[in-house]
Amino acid sequence: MRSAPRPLTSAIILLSIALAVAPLHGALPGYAKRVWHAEDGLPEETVQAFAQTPDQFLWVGTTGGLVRFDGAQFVVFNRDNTPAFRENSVFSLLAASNGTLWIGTEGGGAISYRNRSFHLWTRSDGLTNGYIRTLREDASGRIWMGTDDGLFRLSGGRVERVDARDGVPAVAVHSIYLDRQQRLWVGGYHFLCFDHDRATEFHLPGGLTDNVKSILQSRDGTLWVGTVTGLWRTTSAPSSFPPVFSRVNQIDSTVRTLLEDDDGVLWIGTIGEGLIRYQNGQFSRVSASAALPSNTILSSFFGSEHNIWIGTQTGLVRLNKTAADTVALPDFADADFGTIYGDRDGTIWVSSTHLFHLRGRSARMVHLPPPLASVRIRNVFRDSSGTLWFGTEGEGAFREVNGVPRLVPGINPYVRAFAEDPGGAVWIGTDGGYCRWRPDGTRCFEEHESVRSMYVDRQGDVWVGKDRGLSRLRNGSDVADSPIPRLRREKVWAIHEDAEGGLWFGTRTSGLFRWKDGKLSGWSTAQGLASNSIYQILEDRRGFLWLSGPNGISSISRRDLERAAVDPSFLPAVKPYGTSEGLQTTQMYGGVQPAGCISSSGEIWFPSTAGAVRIGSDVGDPVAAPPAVIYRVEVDGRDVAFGSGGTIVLPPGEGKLNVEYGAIQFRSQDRVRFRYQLENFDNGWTETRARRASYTNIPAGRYRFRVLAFDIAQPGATSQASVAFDWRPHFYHAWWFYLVCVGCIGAAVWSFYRARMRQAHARFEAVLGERNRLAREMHDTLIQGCTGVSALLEAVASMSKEQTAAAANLLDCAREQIRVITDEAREAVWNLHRGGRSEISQLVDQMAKQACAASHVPVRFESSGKPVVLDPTLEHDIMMVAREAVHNAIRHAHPSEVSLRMQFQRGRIRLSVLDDGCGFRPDEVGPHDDGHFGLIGMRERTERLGGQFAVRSAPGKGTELCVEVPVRPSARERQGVLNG
Amino acid sequence: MNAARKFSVLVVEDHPIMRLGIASIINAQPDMTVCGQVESGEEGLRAFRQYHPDVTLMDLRLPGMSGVEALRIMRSENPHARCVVLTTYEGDEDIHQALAAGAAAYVIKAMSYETLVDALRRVQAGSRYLPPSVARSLANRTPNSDLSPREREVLNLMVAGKTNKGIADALGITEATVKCHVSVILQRLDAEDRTQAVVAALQRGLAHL
Repeated sequence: MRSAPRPLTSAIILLSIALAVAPLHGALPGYAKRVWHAEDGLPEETVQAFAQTPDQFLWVGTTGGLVRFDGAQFVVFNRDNTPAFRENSVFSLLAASNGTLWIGTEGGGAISYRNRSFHLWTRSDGLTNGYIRTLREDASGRIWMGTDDGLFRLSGGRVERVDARDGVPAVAVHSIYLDRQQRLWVGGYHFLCFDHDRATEFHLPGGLTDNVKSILQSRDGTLWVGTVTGLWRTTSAPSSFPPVFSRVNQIDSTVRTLLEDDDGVLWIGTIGEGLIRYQNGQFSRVSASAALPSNTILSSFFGSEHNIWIGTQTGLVRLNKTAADTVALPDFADADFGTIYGDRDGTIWVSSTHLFHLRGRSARMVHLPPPLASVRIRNVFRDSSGTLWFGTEGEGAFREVNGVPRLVPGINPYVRAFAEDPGGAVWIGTDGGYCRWRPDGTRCFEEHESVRSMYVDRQGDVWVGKDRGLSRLRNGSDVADSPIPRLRREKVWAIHEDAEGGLWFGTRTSGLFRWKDGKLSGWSTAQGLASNSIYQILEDRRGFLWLSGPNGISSISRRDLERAAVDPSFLPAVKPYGTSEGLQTTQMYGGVQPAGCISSSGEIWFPSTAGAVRIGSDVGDPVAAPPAVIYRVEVDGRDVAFGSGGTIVLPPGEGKLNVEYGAIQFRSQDRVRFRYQLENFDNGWTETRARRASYTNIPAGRYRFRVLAFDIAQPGATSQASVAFDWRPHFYHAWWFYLVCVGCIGAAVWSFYRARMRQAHARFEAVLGERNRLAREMHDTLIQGCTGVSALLEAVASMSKEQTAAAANLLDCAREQIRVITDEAREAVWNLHRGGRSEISQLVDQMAKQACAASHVPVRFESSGKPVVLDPTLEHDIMMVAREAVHNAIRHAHPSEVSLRMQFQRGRIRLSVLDDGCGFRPDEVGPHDDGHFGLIGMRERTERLGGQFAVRSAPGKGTELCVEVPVRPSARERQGVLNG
Repeated sequence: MNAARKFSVLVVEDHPIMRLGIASIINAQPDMTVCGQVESGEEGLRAFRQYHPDVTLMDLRLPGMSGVEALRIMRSENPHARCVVLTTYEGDEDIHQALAAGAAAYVIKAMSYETLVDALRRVQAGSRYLPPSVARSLANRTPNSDLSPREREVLNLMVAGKTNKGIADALGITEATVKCHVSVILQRLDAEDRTQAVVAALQRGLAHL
């Protein structure tokens, strides 16, 4: 029997104590905040100025120098590393429309920064005061500089002083402002307005001094003027000039800075009073105790991503609007569990160390009557009849009957989940199984595993997520232990059913699964999930799934997930919620359901260790991708300078490359992902969270390193940075080196060929020479000799019978000649056979011994000097001469002894043949003297060799024959090829 | 026809045995006598001027001045000088050269003494004499084989066994020019290669060892 639904029972709230609205923990509801201190990388904590250049870098002026910030790291420029800085303290900054960053220092003049170089402007440029308090660009691009002594204007590269002339008083300037009418307001010890370079002085009513610190025109046209004693505003119509100023009574401290954000909220930075917001006619104070590191506000800036930057005495603050906030609970203490249940009336039940009931922004601690008065409530559930159920830690499950909690008997006392089936039965999951309660009784199903989640789907099947596995009950009793085999061992902590009947399972360690039409799909961090640990799955009206886990909350479009399941290359947009988005902690609760809910008004609620997290209507994220920046290129361990666009030409190296890169995103750098590729080397993109790419063994060549940056909430929008390299090859990798090698090999082949050819030629020459020698030998020896003998015989034949004596003489001569010819022919043949080389002295010695053996006349031979191997022709000729001389001596002189002496001198050979025979008279030797034809032949041969021939003889005195010939080295010795 | 007076013969021959044999042949003839025997071209010229021989018997190959050269000078000094060339050479070019220089007869050394004597007598009588084999050899002479002096130099160096490079160095011309000359020489001598050219040149008396 069902009871009619009733509103929240007043009885339960009898004992509840109404509590005042607690000041919200962040003190700035709707804003997320991040503070940076010196330990985060700031050179000093006093932040005096801001500017943002077109490349999206945020520039921060501190007392310790200029800081460039990309959201992740601070890069400091000051006296330590930049010569243009004479003073570290940067008091004012301006990003001019032409891209130049203007830096005003305290005492060190102005510095302009463009294209990575700094330029200092000082007294020599006309800037007579070095304390630059404010910088402003007017409509025509002129830079105005306000200093402690004088107002200056830069135009045409020259700084000129504007005040203290033409009726303009000398001024100390603290603020310059260009209003929408192009009037330039200059504040300091005077308050001036330059309208087309015509100055008008104003006095603020009621001010002790006119020491103006800040000027701003809000979007409604009101001019706000902050001085050391408070704030003034125009009360006249915006179009009327001169305007009428009146004091803002709420503020009496020094107004150092004024800022209007894109919602029209005026942010008033004071010295000592913190930050004051002005919105809808209301002033509200944001003080140091709540949100700011200091109450001394020195600077403020509205930058990209809708960020509000606040510079304080002790730190840098970023404020950004966020849809998420944490609802602090009274007497809240973090515990090891917590659930949030959205009741049907839009109220929220928070179960933690105590039970809280949230209605709108008011939270009440709920004190339940006995038996639950001091029992820790784990979860709250309202069934379709309107009955409230309470799950407890160790005391069982209770249902409220007539305002009194009644124990449901017979179940495990540790309750973890409730569910209700279409028949009105309530299912209770516990550490010992799960039970079905019906008015007529309770039935329990035991499990060894703790039940972590329960869900009744639209078919009425009950799904039970356990600490190990998943069970399904059909028709109230048919239990399927593991209907989805893949999930058999998983900790199934969350179950959700989408509008199309798909069942979603969140696991403790393996990500998200969907079971639909008998098919299972799975997603993990590899598919873009923020975490593989899922405590709760919620689906909002837009079809976005909200997943909680130990690392925060993320939302992801269900359509995107379904697409990623079929298209692995598709990266779903995942929007994480962490501290950057306003959470005070990313640690959510899970394991007990409901670990999150969607209220009837559409707010997303999750339990966290810092309280109940509420995410309201989402505000748009930055649409543009975070700009990718390459910070550092290191080649072979050395930093390489690189500009934009150009190609870095690198000398030959080891092929080691490190590139450090990042992206400019101020809110949550941890959402930035990168894809990089070294074109010409990598085949594809590498996706990473890392901000450094390392390569080794890159061969010489042309490359381009590209890095894409994107926010995981918008993976489709990417920015790109790239740097090109031309890595020069080692000379032994250069094309010309290969060419030289080929050339060298070619030359080697060619010279080898040439050598072979020369050798062949030399051989040919040698063969030809030998052939010529033979031919000459034949001619000189045989033909000449034979024709001579033939002539003699012809002569004999021509003679008459009576000339017998003469004929006999001629025949004798012919005989002798034939013998000589035979000898010479034998000698020639012997020369042919003699392949090896011998010295002439050995040959002559040999010849002498032969002659000696043949004639029995002793022939002595001696030689002196260094014997040489002679040219074969020369050798032959000398041999011939020597042989002839020895024969002559033996045949004609009848000696008792012949002695042969050979002397080798430099370039000459001297041969002498001495006999002790009968001798003759050399002068009587004529052509007709038959016995001495050999003498003539020897002389002729010697002369042909270019030598000298001499005969000394007298009858009875023996004969001495002397031959001296010049020697040229043997061709064999010269070339060495014949034996080679 | 009685030979009242023997005609005088000057023998220019470097080989002593040859000289002896020739002189013996001539002196054995009733109508001729040797008026001088010398062994070089220079001596031959001197003796020619001294003895005014009726006929000069000239060896072509002589130490120093060649026979052809001596012949030319002799003929230039005395256009009526009668010369018989005696040589071992049977090449057409030699014969041609000798005849061009003014030789009236050409006798090969290995011929019989009758040929020599016949030649001397005919020349003394004022006619020319070419033995049939010499005449045949001369008839075979290819007119085309006229080589320029430079080509002849190149050929001589080829015969001496020099390479193109060697020839180029010896003549102070480029190797390419030598190649050009060599190809002309091969063409003129109708030779396939250098060796054939050298053999042909030697056979035909275009060059001598």
